[in-house]
Amino acid sequence: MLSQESASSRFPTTSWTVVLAAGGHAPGSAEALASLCAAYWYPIYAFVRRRGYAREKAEDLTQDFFVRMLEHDTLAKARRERGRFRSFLLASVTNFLTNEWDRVRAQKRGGACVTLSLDFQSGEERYNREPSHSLTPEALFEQQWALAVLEHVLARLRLEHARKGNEAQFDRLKPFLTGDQDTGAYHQSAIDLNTSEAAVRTAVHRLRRHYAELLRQEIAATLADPGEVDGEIHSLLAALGKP
Amino acid sequence: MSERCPECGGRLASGEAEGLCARCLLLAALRGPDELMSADLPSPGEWIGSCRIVRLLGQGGMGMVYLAEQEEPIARQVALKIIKLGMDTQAVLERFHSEQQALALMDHPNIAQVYEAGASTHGRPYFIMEYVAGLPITDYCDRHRLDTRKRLRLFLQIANAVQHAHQKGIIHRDLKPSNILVTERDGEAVPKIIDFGLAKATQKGLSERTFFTEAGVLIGTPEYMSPEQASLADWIIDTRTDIYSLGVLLYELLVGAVPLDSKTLRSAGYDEIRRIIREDDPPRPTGRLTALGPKVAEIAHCRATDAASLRRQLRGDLEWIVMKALEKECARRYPSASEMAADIQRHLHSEPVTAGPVSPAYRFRKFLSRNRLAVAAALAIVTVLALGFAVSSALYVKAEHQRVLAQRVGYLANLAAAESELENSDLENADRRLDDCERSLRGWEWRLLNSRLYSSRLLLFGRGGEATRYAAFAFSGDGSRIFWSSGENLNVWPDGSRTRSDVYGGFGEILAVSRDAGRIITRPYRNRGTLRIIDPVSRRLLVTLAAPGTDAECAAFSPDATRAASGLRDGTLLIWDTRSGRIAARVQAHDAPVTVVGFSSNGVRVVSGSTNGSLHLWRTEGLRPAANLRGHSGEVTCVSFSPDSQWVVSGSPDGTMLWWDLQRTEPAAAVRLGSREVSCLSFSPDGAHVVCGSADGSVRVLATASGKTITTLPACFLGGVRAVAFTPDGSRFLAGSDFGEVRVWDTATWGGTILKEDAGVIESMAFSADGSRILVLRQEELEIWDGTTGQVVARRPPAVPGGSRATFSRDGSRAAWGSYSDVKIWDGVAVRTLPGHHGLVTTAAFSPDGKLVASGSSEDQTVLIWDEPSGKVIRRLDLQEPVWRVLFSPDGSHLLTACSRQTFKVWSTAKWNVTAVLEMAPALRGDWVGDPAFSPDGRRIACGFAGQDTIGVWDSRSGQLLAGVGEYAHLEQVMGFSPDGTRYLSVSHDDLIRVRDAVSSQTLITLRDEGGVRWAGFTPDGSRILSATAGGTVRVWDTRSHHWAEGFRFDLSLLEPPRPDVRSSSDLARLVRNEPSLDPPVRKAALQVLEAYGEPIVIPTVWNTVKSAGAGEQAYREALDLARRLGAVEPSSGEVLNALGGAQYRTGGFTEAIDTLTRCQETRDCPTEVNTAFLAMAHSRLGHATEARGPLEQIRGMLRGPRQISDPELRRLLAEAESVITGDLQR
Repeated sequence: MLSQESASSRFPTTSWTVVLAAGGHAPGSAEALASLCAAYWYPIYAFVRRRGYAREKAEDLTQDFFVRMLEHDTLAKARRERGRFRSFLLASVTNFLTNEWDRVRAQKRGGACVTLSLDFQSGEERYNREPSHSLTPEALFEQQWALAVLEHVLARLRLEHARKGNEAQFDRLKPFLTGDQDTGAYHQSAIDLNTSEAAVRTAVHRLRRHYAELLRQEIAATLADPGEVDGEIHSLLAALGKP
Repeated sequence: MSERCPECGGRLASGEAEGLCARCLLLAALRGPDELMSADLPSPGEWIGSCRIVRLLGQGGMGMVYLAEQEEPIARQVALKIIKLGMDTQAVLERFHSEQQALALMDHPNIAQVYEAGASTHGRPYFIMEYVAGLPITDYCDRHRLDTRKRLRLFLQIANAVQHAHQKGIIHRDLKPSNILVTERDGEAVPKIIDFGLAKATQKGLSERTFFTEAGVLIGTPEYMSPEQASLADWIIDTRTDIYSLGVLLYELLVGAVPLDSKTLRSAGYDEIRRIIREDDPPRPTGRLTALGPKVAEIAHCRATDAASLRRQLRGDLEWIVMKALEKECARRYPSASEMAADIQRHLHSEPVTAGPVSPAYRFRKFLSRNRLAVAAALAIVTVLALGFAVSSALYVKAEHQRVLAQRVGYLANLAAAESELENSDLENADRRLDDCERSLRGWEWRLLNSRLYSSRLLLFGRGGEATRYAAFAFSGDGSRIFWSSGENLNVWPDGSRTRSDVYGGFGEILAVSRDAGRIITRPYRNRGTLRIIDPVSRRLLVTLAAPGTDAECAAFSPDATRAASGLRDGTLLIWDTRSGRIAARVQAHDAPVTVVGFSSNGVRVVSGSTNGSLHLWRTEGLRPAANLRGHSGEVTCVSFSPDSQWVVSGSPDGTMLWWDLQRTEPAAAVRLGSREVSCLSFSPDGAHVVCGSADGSVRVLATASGKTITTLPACFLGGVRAVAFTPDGSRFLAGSDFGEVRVWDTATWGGTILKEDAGVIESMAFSADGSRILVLRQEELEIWDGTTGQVVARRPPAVPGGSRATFSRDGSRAAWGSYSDVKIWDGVAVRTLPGHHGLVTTAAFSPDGKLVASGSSEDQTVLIWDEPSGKVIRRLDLQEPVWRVLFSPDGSHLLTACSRQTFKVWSTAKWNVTAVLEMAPALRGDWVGDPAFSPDGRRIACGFAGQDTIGVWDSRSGQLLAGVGEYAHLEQVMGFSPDGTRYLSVSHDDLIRVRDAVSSQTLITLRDEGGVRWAGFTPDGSRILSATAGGTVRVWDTRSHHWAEGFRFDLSLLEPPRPDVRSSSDLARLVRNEPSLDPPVRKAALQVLEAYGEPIVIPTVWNTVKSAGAGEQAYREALDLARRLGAVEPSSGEVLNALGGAQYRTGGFTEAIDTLTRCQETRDCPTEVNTAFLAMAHSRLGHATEARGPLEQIRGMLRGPRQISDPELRRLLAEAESVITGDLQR
């Protein structure tokens, strides 16, 4: 079924708007939702774990939650939160944990059919590495969400460079994404990549522009109104907290 | 391994986005590729506008600041600020220019001027400003250790500067320490406010999402943001926004911390930050100091004083001034900076200030505004109820209901205030608030707060100044006496008495007390290297422990006191023979000073800890190493061995507590209490619990088995907790504070106790009617527990998963639940199966008489009614919708069925017809959640809804919706009513349990659980609430210690105001016995409290008599008699001796009075004024002119001098003394 990698490569063609269109009944809606879920399962898992569930239980709950999301007409219920997939997912999972769990279990006995293959092993390892023990489950979810967004974008950037055989260049230049480094960084990179400093500056400029486009695309895919991208970036910044 | 981001300096989490800083990545996307190029940032020598860049001064949130030189219009050094973020340069400049004229009008020595603005060749806006070479004001004050008065004077200059700007129409909008730099001119500190006018120019309009746009910047300083700024309501920002920021600044200058905790703000989400700023009341400065714990000493040091004096300086005026500036409503703040400055001036001149404690009316209004929704709902109910009454009396009814409603809202306001005062540890005001709560409305929540307030059974006052880190408890071998060593004095109480029988002191510092307090180890103030062992009672020096070399830092007795251990500053650990005073063993134990040492309960081992976090276990004999306990990173300051000597628990000021299984060298469990310093620890005698005291004044009890906190007793002390201990029989535990208060708790009644842990995921619980049994439904099995102990009485074996929630029959003899196509009935032994459904059975319930069972299915969509004894179906109700819950009304006359979506029907159980369909409203959109519930009288039904997070309350007969109460963003499940039907419970996913008013649905109190609350319910007697979490912890919220509180409260009501018929404890006891309104358990508690507190409870009675000259011979005789009895039990209390001396004087015993009053002066708590007055009068009466004349001057000073006494009672006494003495002297 869906793995994280394949989901992110399919990502550009889907978006939250598609999912929401026609109350979730538009063509491609279910598929779009599935790929969104597969891409953002880890923040949900971290949230469930942080709510105090043991590993196995948290795995079951995460799985059950997504199955329920995909099988049921959950979208019809999304009202206030539908503007952002992130908010929608958080509201849904809290609701699920408080309320729907027993009903889901009851229905499962009638024969559930969908399973998602989520890499819980890596999820758990990652969860154990989180240093954020002081965060509330909600804050942890939002923080992990922000990181997941960035990871997808960087993975796509890397993939696109790799396709052109430029992975080494990507690795060398990616630190420039956050700023200009020390004086002489361009010079050193030019030596490392065996090219001119001017060429490095151009490449960095392109990389930055492309990165910003991809990030905006990725974020827009989770919003009902793509005009809110800036607002969402600020929300993600806030979720990350102070440096 | 954590690296830092080269851009922002933030720490990089491992595995974060390809090793890049996530924040910077997001910011990069906002700025666009060109913004990041450093190429366009100026380098030294470059020209920007009229300036030549000299060097970079710093980098702020907004941009880079350079030192630059100007030739024109005059040659000068300037600061050049280049705005970094991607802003619309044109708009920034336009906004700036629109204000530039006003800015140019500002001419104030404490305001740095902004000369001009422009755009760089790269199109970035820049500002040229007066260059101020100074430190941020907070840094300056701390570095120069300015005391409070000096800080206030600096602040006055700033307030005046702000006033100047406001008069020119300029609001700063971003006042904070980094924008107020202090330079020195001719040795004088001169503060200068920078960046005036910049905030407005660089802020975008509301339409451009001011707060968002600035997220990367403004979020950096939410601490200084006013509530109206946080509300994004740009248009209401006026000069009072700066007043708020001035309030924050003053707060920080005084206390060393900002009002709203930075840590909380930083860890909160974006909306939460805004909510906190707009709604959360900051603690008062002194409260904040307390909460700062160990940091206070350093903060006080920076203010050239000590913690206690700093607290005194801030209490009263300064607190009110700060809090007035910090009001959330801007209309309640100072109207101008000059008025705030004037109040500070008044304080500096010791005149009364205009700011004062918040009035009850205001709190009430504030409460109303916070609870607008709930109040509106209550009003709606009033209207509904009023309409039902006869028209002729409609007006009366309306008025009557408005009165009731006002009462209810007033009750809630008092309750909320009491809770917040409890949280602020303001016990006096909490007590007053609880008293103010309307008696007829008091319910479970009131009893809970009341029992929290008086959670301790006894409050003892140790007289011995502030306690040190060496404070300790000890108990006499026969258990008859309790000893509290504050570190300087050893206080003794007979067990159970509030009356201290003795205090021993004057030995220097007491570092250790033997188990029975028969010996103490003291350290002289001069020679800190030599310790002494002293018998405190006889004051005899038993032996001197003369260690060569450095100072002793800590010491301990072995349990039998034959050995002592001491730890030295140079890291040496010594074992002494306490009889000979010889060193039995020594070892270089640590590389740093030894901070703590302790013997195991069997005396065989010793543990020592050090400032560097090292902790070592030794064999006492020869000090051979036994284990190196690695785990602390900060100083270890307290250790305790378990009674079986197998475990050690250790604590550190960094908030870490570690459990050590001495078979191993790694910690078995670690508890981190965040910023709360762990200051003392003690195992319970059975080893099952550890009690831990913190610097913030709270006391926690933790379970040894799990390391989990079982209960946190409210921050009940003014200062930090210095020592904790259990009594040897384990029935009580004690905690002593910085200020010498000692509290005693019964271990049986501590609040919020955990009934059971690790009980698995609990779905729901149900009680038998008498509360003796609890039915527990877990995921895969059912259990029956004992109602009090939580022990499992019976268990339904696993393998048959429960399909539905299980319910008890009322008598608790049987349980019913649904399975697949069956209903199961279990009597604790065998399971009966009732087949009949086609599909999953989702719900089952007993009728109250136990004869019927109702069941429902989500698949066959029917409800079956069974005759339970025969197991036959007597009725089939076809609902044509999946059925999820069935529920009988308490009298069994009706059945409620709840189906998918929103179909709720009420059926008559006599005819099985539908008597009501519950009315739905747009407010109740979405799925219903949890269990619907009947009120005990059966007249109301309540249920929660997910769509709008609303709870609906209906009339069960008409189906009419009475109230729909919305809550902010929390899904709540209704969990049933209290037995008296006046309250109901709800739980929500954020671990909150709410107790709500059944009529208005207002939240009365909120209980915080942890670990995912799934269920909560009242016990059948209504005294407790039980809650169960996903983690399998069952907690009890108990109000039963409320009896103590009520008893104590009643005792106090007999004493205040003093009554003529109360002269002794026996008078009090008589009144308690004769009071008809007291419940028997409360009466019993009231009497026990009297017994425990003894005679000093009537000190006010004696004082009341002797203070005035005309009480009459008979009254004075009685007072003397009482005072003599007091003196016998409390020989060293200044208060008692003064009262006795006063009584002796009034009855003509002048010589005895002089003796008593002179002795009083040697106590620590001698009330000087009273003492001086009586002593001088006694001398005067005896004709001792010299002895009377000296005090006369003092007395005149007290009456008319610059620091005159204001208490009218004292003034009267002093005036009496003055006239007596002058009269005698003239004769």
